[in-house]
Amino acid sequence: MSGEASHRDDAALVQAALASDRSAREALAARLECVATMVASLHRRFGRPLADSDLHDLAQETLLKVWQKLDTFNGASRLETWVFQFCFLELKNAMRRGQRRQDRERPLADGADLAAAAPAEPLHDLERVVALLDRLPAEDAEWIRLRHFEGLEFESIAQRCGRPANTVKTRYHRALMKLRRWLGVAPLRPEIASAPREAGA
Amino acid sequence: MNDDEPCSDLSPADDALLERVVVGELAPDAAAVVARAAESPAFAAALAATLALQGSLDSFGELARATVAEAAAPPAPPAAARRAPLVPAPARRWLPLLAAAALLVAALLWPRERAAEPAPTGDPALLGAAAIDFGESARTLAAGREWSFVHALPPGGWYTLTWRAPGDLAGPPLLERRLGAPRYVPTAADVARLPAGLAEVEVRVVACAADGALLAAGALRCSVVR
Repeated sequence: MSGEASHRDDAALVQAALASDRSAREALAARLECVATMVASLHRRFGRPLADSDLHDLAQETLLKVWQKLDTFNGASRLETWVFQFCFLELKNAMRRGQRRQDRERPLADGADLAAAAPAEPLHDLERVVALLDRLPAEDAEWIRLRHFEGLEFESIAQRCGRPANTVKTRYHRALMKLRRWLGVAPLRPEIASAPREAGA
Repeated sequence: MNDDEPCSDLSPADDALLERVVVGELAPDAAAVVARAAESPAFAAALAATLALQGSLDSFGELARATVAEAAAPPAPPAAARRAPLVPAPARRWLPLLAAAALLVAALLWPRERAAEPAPTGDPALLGAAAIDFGESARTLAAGREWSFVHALPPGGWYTLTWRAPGDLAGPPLLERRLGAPRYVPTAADVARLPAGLAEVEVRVVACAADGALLAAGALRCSVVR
């Protein structure tokens, strides 16, 4: 089965489950058992920042969010890839909540500089990037996901969507520019970008 | 933020050059790109930021593919399990979570004809279901000991509680109760219905509104005390 056909099957499965098809629901339930595994896998990759009991709750919350959003799944990607985004965002949210709790509980030394103590932000916060994708026009977001999350070439995306490859490329580029602007991405201000790198900098 | 806002602060020529790079028609170190970046700080900044953004998206994609592949991997064959009789501690810690998650899914997918004794009113409410917050008391099942959980049930609503042997999602329930409040005091007869030697049971709770709409669901494993 091709990837595209598989995605269409996933969308059909979800639609059937939403339409109260009992066997579809059972099949979907089996597929969504991946939520707990994915949350556990991500948690391990992120260095196990949460307690086991928190992780249990997080898996349940994530599963419910997936259910609440099932009607937005359109088969543009594999069901598990779509579910993964929920797992990632929910885990990152939980990690942030945990960090804030720790920060509140940690006494500050006199004169401590909170800003200086904060960890350096990555150039692009993955969490923000992924969340902002939902603010793009649906088709643009879908093409970005297919390109980067599914690893498809532009020609394959064009074929799948029935659009000319050049259209896909141009829209993809415009969508990236939008994302960049929304992220406020000017990690290299023009004067910095063009400045010669100083020794030891 | 709308679809018509300008996407680039570059000149059309720079924007076209940048597009060729981001879609892979030109390498970032192609002579034309390097020359333009040297001439235009704005172009250089846009190029660097866009490539970084693509790198972030690629990183996320790699993480997604690796995690999805791991989730789809079949469990270790029995022979391998026999060779490694001791389950590593982290994996052991996850077994209850996996079981509970599977139970939660099953609870959410509970056939409406069983949960909704009044005429079912359609399924959309299923998607608005919330998780039930279990308290400590719900972790033990013992005769005479109140078993409760945290949930606000609207008037006319009810809970269906079903206990099963751990991992047995398909078989008939060992014990089933319908409650009008989030508390239950098991009787000795209830506990006696559980097979002797069964130290733990899994319970799933489904909360329904008066019209049968599913309000919340939850599942957990609890210890049986005789």
